[in-house]
Amino acid sequence: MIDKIQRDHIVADIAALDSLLKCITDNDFMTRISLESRRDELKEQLARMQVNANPMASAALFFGGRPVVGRRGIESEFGANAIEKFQEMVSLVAASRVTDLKTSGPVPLKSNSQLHITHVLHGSFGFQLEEIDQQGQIFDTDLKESVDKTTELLSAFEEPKDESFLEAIEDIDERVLQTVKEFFELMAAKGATVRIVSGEVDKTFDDASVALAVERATMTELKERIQPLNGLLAGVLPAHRQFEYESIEYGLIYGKIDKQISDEQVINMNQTWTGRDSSAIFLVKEFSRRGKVYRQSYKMLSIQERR
Amino acid sequence: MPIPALTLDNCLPPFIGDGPGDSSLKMSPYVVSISEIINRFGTTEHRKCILAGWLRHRKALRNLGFTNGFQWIDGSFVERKATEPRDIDVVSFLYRPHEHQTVEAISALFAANPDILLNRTRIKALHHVDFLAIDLSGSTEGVAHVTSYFTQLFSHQRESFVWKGMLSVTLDENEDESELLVQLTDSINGGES
Repeated sequence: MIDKIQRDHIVADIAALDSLLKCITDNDFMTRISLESRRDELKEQLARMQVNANPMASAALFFGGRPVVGRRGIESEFGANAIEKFQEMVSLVAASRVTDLKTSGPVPLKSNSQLHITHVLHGSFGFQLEEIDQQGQIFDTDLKESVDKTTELLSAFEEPKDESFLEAIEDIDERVLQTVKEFFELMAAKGATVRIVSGEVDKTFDDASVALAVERATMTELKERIQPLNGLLAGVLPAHRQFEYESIEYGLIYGKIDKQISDEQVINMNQTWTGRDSSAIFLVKEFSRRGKVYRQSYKMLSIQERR
Repeated sequence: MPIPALTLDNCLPPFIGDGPGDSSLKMSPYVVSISEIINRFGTTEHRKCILAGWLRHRKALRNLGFTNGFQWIDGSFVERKATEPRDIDVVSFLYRPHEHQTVEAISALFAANPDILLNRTRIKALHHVDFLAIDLSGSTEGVAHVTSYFTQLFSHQRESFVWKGMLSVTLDENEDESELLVQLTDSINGGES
């Protein structure tokens, strides 16, 4: 079972036991002893789970609405398509973390991001997707980080405020955005609802949320351009790979540093470039909705001496 | 009523027949005998060890004066799983012994017998029983509340939400449990359990 779902069950059970212990009397001696023992055992289990979190990728997708018949079944074509779209999103996110994505064509490094359906889940009808453990893992795998990132992106489409939504998808690749759109369009077309659980994310998209997600994915326009700017580097945070740059053209801008600049170069940037005239090249992402630019994000691609 | 066959979900059915509104004999918890449980679920040496431990624990309870009550049997021991069960999950509905009717007396009895009554970890290690007790000599409302809790807990599989059944066996010794224990012990390889 997905760690979060199992944790939630244990937390609910502990709450039920606490409530029960308040209901019984001092005369219910044997009952009290047993309930307290069970509660303490569950608390220990919860503590162990928090220490021994699963480092492998896992996600649960629960579907409801028209394609689902209670706990009994789900339309096979819908179920297959929904899982395929989710897998595609995960593969694109995984690939975008190590390489640039083309606007179309095969997903790079797809075999590295393969999930498996390991369980059918009930209440409503769902699938558990997991990374199959080939060797013992201690630290979070790359695929786990990609699945967690994917579910965070999806849950951003349910953010109440547009500004929060755009901030949450700041790093999204255009092709990933397209696949997210296709996922929610499938939900809307089939009258389906979906609950996504992975990592610490547990988001439910009802009919209204699905409609909002479709609207956002459809109406959010992402434009990218390469922008050279002149100015002064104000500083970087090497551990977070973040910069502040006082540009002549736009004033102070900030953002992340692209992976093509090595960690060693980032560490030395404060010493080498702070306060020096420089020219830097940025990848500018411009998010528009209904023709209005809501957000611009900057990613530093390179920095050199200004001539 | 014999113990029903396990379902395709690898657990006891919640009822037998066309629907749950039939005879109470055809509904969970199914009232069964010790020998029925042994014959149905004592299929491996490991399981026989667990059953032997459970019988010894029942004897220990009776020796302490717990002669009236019943036990619900649930969990992986009465399901079909890929791995062997670690122990047998038993919820024991117990009336206090005649000489230990007050809270002070029953509390002292528990404190004096941790390996039979109080320390669940030790009870599991010694008797292979996950022991939980419900005080039938306590408040009526308390019994109602805790029975409701365990009924909900045991009537559904946590992961699949499948509705499932469990077994019930009286604590009173209606069969010669000592003889059953001897037979179990003899059938375990080397006579050890």
